[in-house]
Amino acid sequence: MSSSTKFLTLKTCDDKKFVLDEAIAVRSQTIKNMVEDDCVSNVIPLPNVNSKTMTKVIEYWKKHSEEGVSKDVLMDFDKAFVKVHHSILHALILAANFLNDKEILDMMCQEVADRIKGKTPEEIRKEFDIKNDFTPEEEEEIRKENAWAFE
Amino acid sequence: MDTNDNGWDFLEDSIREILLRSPVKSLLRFKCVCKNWYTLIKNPNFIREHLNFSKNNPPQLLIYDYGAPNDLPPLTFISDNGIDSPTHERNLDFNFGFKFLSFNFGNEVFEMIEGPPHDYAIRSCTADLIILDDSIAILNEVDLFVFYVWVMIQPGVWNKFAIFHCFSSVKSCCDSSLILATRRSRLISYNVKTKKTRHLEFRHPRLSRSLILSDCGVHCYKESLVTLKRQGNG
Repeated sequence: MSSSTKFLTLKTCDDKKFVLDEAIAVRSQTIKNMVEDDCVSNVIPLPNVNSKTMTKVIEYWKKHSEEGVSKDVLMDFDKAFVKVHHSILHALILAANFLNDKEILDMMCQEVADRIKGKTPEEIRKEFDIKNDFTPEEEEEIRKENAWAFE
Repeated sequence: MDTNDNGWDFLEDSIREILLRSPVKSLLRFKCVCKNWYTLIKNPNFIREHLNFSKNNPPQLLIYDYGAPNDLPPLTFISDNGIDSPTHERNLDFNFGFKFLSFNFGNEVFEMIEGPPHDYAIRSCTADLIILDDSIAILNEVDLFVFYVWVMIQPGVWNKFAIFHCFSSVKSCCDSSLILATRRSRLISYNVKTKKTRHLEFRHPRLSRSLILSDCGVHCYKESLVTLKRQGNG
C-alpha cells in the first residue's frame, strides 16, 4: 500500500488547498465516486465546504485511518470531536452531506439530537430559524394530544 | 447557485436525520414546531425508520414490583449503564424434542411447528419461548442450571445456538441478551451471542426469587412512535 501512495488536492470554497492521501480522502463517497469515474484532474473543488470545516473533517479522517488505534481511543476522540460550537456542528453536517460521509453525518446528527432533546418548540424554532405556521388553536390541539411530552 | 443560500436547504435534509435520532418524548413535543415537522413526525415511513433506529439503542428495563408496599413506587426504569464482566462457560450436549402451535393473526390459521430434533430422552426442566434478535427461540433448562438456546431459522428448522451454565434465574430477554437475577438480587445481562456478561448495577430484594414465585418482574421496552390505533384506515 505504501509503494505508490497517491495524493489528491482538495480546494475549499475559501481557496485553501489540502493535499491528502487518496486512501484517506475516499472516506468521502463523493470523492470516491470522482476517483472511480476517473474525473479527478489536479484539484478537487469543494464549493460547499470552508477550510475551517475541512480541517476538522480531515482531522477525523486521519484519526480513523490510523492503524492500531484502540476502540477506546477512538471513542474518546469522537466524544471530544463533537463538542464544538453549534455553528461548527452545523457546518460539519453540511460538509458531511456534501462529501457523503455517513459516519460523520451520523455522529453529528446524533449530537444535534442529543443537544435539542430537552428543548421546547419555541426554543427549537429559534435555533432552526423556523416560522410557526400553526394557528394558536391548532397548536393548542397538538399540545393537548401530547400533553405528557410537555411535563 | 449561491452556496450560502443552500445552507438551510441542506439542513432541511438533515433535519429528518436528526429527528430520526431523537427520543419519542422530544418528538411528540416537536410536533408543534411547525407543519412540516408535524407531517414528518406523523409519517408512517418516518415512524418505521425511527423504530429501526432505536433498535440500535440499548434496551431499557422496567422493573415492576407487584409486592411493593404502598409508599414505594412499584415501577423502576433502568437503562444498561452497567459494566462488562468476565464470564465462564462450559459445553454440554443435550437433546430434547417437542412441538408447538403457531397462530397467524393475518389468516387466522393454526399451524403445528416441529420443535428442535430429539435424539435422546427429554430432560427438560423448563422451556420458554423467547424472542432473540427478532427470531423465535427456545430457552430450555435441560438440567439444573444448564441452559440450551435453540433459534428457529424457518418454521421447523432449528439451530443449536448456545449452551451455558447459569445459577441465576432468567427474568427477561431482549435483543440477544438474557436478563438474569442473581441470588443476591442483582441484575445481570448475559449476551448469548457474544457470551459476555454485564452487571447492570441494579439491586432489588425481591428480584432473586424464582420466575414462577417472583412478584418482581423485569420487562424490556423500547420507545417507539408506533400507535396502537391505526391512523387513516381505522
